[in-house]
Amino acid sequence: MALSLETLNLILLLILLAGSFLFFSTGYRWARTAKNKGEPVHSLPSYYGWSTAIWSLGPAIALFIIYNVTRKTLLFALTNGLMPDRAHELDAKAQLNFANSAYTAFEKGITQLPKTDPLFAAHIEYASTLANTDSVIGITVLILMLVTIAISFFFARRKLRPEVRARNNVEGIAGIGLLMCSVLAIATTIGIVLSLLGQTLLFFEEVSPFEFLFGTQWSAQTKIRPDQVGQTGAFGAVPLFYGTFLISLIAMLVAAPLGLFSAIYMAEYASPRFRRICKPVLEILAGIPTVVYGFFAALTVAPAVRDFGNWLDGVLHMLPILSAIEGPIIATQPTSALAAGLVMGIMIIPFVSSLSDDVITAVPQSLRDGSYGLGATKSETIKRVIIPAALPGIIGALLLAVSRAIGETMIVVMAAGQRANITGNVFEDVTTITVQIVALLQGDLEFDSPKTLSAFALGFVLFIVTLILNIIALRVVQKYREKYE
Amino acid sequence: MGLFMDMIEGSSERFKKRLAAERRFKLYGQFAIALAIIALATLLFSVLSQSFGAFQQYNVKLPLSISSQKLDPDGYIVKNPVALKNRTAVMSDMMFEGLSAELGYGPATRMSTPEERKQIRAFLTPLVSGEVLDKLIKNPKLFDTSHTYSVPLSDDLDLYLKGATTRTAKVSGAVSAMNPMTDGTFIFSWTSAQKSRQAKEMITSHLESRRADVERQIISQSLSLDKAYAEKQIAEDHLTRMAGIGSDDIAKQLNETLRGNSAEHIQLAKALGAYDMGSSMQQEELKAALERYFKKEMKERQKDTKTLLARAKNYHNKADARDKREAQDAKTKREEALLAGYSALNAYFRLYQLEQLRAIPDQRLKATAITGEDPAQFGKLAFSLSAVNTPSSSVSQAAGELIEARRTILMHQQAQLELILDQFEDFSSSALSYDNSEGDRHFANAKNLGQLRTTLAQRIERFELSINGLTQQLNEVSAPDFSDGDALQLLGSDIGGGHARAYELGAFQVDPDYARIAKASQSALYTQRARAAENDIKSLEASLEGLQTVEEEIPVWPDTTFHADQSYLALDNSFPTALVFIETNAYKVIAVNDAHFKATPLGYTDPAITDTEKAKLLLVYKPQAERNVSDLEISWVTRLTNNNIIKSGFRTRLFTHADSNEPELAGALGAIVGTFFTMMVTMLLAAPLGVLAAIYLEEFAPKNRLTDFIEVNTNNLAAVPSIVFGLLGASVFIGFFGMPRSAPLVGGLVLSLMTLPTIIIASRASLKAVPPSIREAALGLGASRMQAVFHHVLPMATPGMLTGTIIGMARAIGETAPLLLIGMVAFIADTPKSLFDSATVMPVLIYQWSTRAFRAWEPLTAASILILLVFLLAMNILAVYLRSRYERRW
Repeated sequence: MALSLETLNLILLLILLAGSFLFFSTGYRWARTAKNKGEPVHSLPSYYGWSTAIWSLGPAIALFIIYNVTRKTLLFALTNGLMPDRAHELDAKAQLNFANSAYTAFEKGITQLPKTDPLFAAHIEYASTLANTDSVIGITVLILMLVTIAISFFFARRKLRPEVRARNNVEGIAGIGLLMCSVLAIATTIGIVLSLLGQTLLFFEEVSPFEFLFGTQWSAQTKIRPDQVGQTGAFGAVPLFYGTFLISLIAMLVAAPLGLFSAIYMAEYASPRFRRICKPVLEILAGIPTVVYGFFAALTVAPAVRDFGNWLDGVLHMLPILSAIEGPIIATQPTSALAAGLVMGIMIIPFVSSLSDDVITAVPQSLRDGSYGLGATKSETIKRVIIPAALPGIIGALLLAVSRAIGETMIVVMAAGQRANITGNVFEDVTTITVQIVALLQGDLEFDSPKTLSAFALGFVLFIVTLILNIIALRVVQKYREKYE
Repeated sequence: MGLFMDMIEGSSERFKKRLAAERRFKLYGQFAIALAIIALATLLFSVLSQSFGAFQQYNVKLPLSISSQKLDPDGYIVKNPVALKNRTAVMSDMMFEGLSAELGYGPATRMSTPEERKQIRAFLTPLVSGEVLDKLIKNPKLFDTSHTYSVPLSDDLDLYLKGATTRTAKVSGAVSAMNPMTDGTFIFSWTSAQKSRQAKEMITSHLESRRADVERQIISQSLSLDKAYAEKQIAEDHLTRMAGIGSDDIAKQLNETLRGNSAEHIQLAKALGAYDMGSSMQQEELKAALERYFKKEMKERQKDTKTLLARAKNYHNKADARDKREAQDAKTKREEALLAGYSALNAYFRLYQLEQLRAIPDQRLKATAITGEDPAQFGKLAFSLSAVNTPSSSVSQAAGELIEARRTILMHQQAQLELILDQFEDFSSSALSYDNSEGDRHFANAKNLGQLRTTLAQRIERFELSINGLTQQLNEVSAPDFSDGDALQLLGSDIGGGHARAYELGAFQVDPDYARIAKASQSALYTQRARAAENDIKSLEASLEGLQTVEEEIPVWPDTTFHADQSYLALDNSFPTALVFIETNAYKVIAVNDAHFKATPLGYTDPAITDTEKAKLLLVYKPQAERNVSDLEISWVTRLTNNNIIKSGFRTRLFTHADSNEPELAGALGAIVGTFFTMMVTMLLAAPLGVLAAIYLEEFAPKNRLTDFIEVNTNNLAAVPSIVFGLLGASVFIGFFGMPRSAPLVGGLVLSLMTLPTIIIASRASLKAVPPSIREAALGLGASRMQAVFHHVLPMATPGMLTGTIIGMARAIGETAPLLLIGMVAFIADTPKSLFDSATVMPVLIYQWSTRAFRAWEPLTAASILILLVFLLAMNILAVYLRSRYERRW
């Protein structure tokens, strides 16, 4: 009997499902009867149901998971000696390859191939061995599971006594489950750090960290073939850091004043009706996907910025002092730091404004009242009292916005360019950390070339920088909140 | 009293100031909000306005009777309908014939010329025939009956009809009888003077705007001219600065730039440098280095070629054997054989290239050709040589030889490629004929082959281009007045590349005084740049002059009086086109005067039509040279539109088809389904895990280091850039666990890790909002903490949690960057059917479409953005609704 993984899993799942109903109701009924009999049952009947089900099925579930995870390894381990002679002639690597393709044949259920080719025949032979072994394992697991369930039910049944604290048991287990869920966040962070760090260290074996952090030449497109000429890998990331900094700076120059002023207006001046309408409108800006901003930046803003640059160039040429200069005073490019920065700034406005809005609203009314009592006008109160009081929170908000700007990807990918360039001219194109990560990892992944690894090193830098910014910002905001709570 | 007034006066002054400050401050806020709202409006408007074109599409409604005899002589439609899929070539010929007939061509009238055939074929992309075949396979009743097939018009013509290519204008009225002239042209005139005037005004105004256009071009050209001057300046500045650099600096620089090059190459380049500097001893060294290089490289390639060829042969034999026995997997073997053959060919190309190079007798030239495979490198080397007093004639001579060698190699390669392409052509279509029940593998293989074929075809095209370019270069080089300076100009002006540095280093070792030479070579480089700039300046000045002549030559129709005998004004291809339509015939106006048009027939014209009741004059503003729709195509499109063969309709395929290489065939369905799958995974994972984690942190977590850490960590994770999650996915899910790339499952996992913190934070906030009194009441009645939370607090916090989840999902649905890193950016022409299929999602589709070159993709991109925004709007409205409907405030 051929037992495919899907059928087996389905059977096992059905057993587990049926078992859970069965055991739950066993425990539940027992408790209800006991209670009706007047015995001093500790918990509500449903807790006995839960605990019976958990104790009876827990080991079986563990078995089920272990089986599914280790199935392939187990199969190969068990059939290693049963490989056809033909396969034994192969070297280790080819053998592995052989086993894997046979496994594929087995998984797809391919049983008929012309037997003329000995290797093909061997494949099929081994695939059928695998299939047989798998069936045997499957049936064993099935039986094993039933036995496990029976044994654990036997023990669970013994726990059905009035003095057993079923509720506490169940709640304890549920508590552990909840803890596991919240630990997932830490696991993610650890995953990020480990994966980035591992690849970064590999990268630093090939390129020195000093060169990476302080080198000013970036051309990561290393040679693909050894005989390829004319391309060298240079991994000095300073131009990328600079580009990221420049674009974030432009973005903050747009977002900080606009966000702050709109937050102040919303918090202090706006009528409730205005606030009710305008706040969601501003929040729409935050909800628009970044790829849409990228499209906007590349197709609408960048050409406009370029035209503006050319116009400005013309105007500057008309000035008497500058008219002697031949050639452009402002060199423009189709993609520019300014276009990407402007659009990124627009994207961040709601971020700054809603965070600062919260911060400003959190300033206690008593401070305002005191200021008004001394005869200050509204704007004076805001300038002299509220902003100084809210300053730490505002700084925190701005830092978070900076971290957002640094990590933003799509806008810069679509509108900032690929050229590593250190320039003060915002009409020229620059490249950023995120752009390079995307450029380096978009093709096929080979985890052994410095080109791929450098993307992880860049990612690591990005992660660390944003992490530091976030920690400081969150700290500051937290402290500030506590101050007025 | 006076004092008091003063005080009041003074204070009112101050008060006014303060009030003004108050107003100003308020204004800043309003200004900021207004600016943000304007930005939003601009964004939405720009997307909306660009998307309009994408919802409309012009279709060709082609009445055809498809003969089963012709298309399906073997009767596959009964045996194995899928096998019909490889008849696309026949199908597309049939459609071509149908279209030709509509345009008046045929055995009864006139056969189309090759040029005309090419343009008729441009009406429909070849891929369209596949769709018609599908339709036939689904509905075999359509065979041998007349049926109107509706297929999309090609994107260029579609854009023209939508008015995106050029402005047009029309006048219609009666014209006089046509007078055929001896030279094959015709002369018309409007019967009414008013029409004449109207047409004249139209042409004049078009000429005027043309003039304005040329003026604009002149301005932009002069700007570029300014830039070229600046370039020149920069290069000259560099030259001045070069004077101050010492030899140590240069040696250091050279050593630094050498890293990352293969050892053989460095040796070779060094030997070459040394050779150029030294004596016969160095010649031996160079020879040895060359031999080493050739030996190693050729041995490797030979080995590659041999093994691959053997494999291919082996597979071919097997396939033959299987063919004889009509075994099932013969085709698989053939596929493998072809793939191996292809790889072998690649290796062989390299080998052949090496052989060609080895045959060059001059050691120096040989070495140069290897170290500077790129002609730019060679040019630079040659130039540095000439800078140190090598006889200068060698530069252009060497350039000629090198170009010739490259051309020979390329031509050979092209021939080989064409050969293999033929095989592929046969093969990949027959691979498609596999019955689906045989398994998806065949289809995957067929698809791979199809891709390979496309790559091959592209390659051949590229070769063609390069060969043409090289031929042209050769002609230039062999011209008698070709100087070394020209040679360098021709060979390019790139710096960079390590081999040139190695070369210099080699030279440096032999001659410590090489600093002089290195300097010379760098100076040479900048001299070259300066020269290039100067050349730019020259050519720009020339083109400016040309434009000015064009401007002067744009004719002016002097006054409004009519002189029938006035001499003709010629309208050539650089001027706006005027077309005259009389019934189905079309004529192109080649000259006008106040009363008459002189015109030539366009395409097939029916000689029987001499009736001149109704004529239409169509003015196409953009001259033919500047658009990719020819006058002939415009005349046909106009004719077919009048005949209702071409009709516009709503572009439903945006929602019914997946991505395609052709804009007129592309749709977003694949990405929509991909988004659905990805979001399903994200929701099923992130929502329960996030809510449970929030419950733990908010309700149960003891205040200790661990929970503090979890809290800080969660908050930080929410602010980690999304691309970092992409890196995590790439290295852990794909690199470590070996999950399939591009799969919605992996995308969903990555996005759920990304949204998890958002959901946790939102859920915690809504748990926090439930007043403690609820918990206390429950606890007071004897509930356990678990009971209090799950029975009382959680139901009350659910609306808030739901809102948070939906908002988190809305963020995830628009996320692009992490998905790029896990390979969801591949071109996928199929709608995904499961979580493991390759798929893409809406935002990534937007990104992909926005990077495609043709203009027709622009509206499509905007339209897909619109679809995404509608999704998002729906989700947000749902969130707001839930919040307002169910949220309770305490």
